[in-house]
Amino acid sequence: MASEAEHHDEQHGLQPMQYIQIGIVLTIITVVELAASLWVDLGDALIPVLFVLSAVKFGAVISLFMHLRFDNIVFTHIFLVSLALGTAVLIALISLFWSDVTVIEPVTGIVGG
Amino acid sequence: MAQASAVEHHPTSTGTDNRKLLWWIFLGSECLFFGSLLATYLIFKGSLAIPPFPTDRIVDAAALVGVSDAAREACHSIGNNLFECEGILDVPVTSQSTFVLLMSSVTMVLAVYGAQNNRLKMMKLWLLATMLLGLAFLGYQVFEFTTFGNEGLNLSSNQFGASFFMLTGFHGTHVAVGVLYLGSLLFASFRRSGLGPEAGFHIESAGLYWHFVDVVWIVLFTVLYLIPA
Repeated sequence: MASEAEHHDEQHGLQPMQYIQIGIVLTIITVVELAASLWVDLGDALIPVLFVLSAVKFGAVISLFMHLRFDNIVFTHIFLVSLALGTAVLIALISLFWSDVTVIEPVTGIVGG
Repeated sequence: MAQASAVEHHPTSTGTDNRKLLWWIFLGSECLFFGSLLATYLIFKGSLAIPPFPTDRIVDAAALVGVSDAAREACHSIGNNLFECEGILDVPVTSQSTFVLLMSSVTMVLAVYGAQNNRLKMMKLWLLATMLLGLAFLGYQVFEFTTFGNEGLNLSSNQFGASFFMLTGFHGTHVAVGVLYLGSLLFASFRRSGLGPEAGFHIESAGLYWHFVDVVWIVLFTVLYLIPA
């Protein structure tokens, strides 16, 4: 029975205490993000640091909490391809419209008044 | 130990449960949905001329013509016909709601563990905890939206308001749907037959949805709140 349970854990995830430890690590990363954004002057390094920390949290949740690390590789492929497509859409939209956005000038008078 | 998740799925060519495959395809399509909304927000964020602004900004006096009294009150003169407008985002408060949502992911994964290992009391307890944390997150969002409304930001006040409320509003709607989904599973688990032999699958599916909502917020929190203008 023990080996069956071990086999199951190996296939489908971690032990409860390990999930709690991951939650603590995610909380610490969030505090570091907050500190980097509000209280520490990182200059130009701020945005890359925030993206890396965010990516670590993102990766931890999808691989360990959503069990992608333990599940069939097909799910990982589906999600990563979709994520790449979503990112491509984001980049394409920004590239298309970033320079073309018309800044709405504040109203300074009433035309024809 | 009998394990709920050990129920075999119908044989498929991919070797995976088709229902689970469908969940992942659905979550993949959600990546495109939120990617588009995020792009819209970022495009408009770069072209703001009328307060309220997400972060502190100096504007010409002409920018204050026609804005609401509440938005104008957040701007004070610094001379030379210029005004400094205070940013509207409250990062410390949103950090608390981010923590709440992160913890809900932990409780959700514990509920999944309980369901997959036939520990039904554990499953129900953590499912309830996840629901309560989800409701707490929604409470934070209602508080934030109400505060923004009082400070003159709404869907039609400027481009920031339109894109911000669309993006965070849709995310909040996903959280609300998740809370209802978890609530229906919790309610069903109290029936005499419980969630049936596929309890593990049902709770795992709900877990996938809930964790996805969490990872979307991880991205939104960084891009909307932590990265300065």
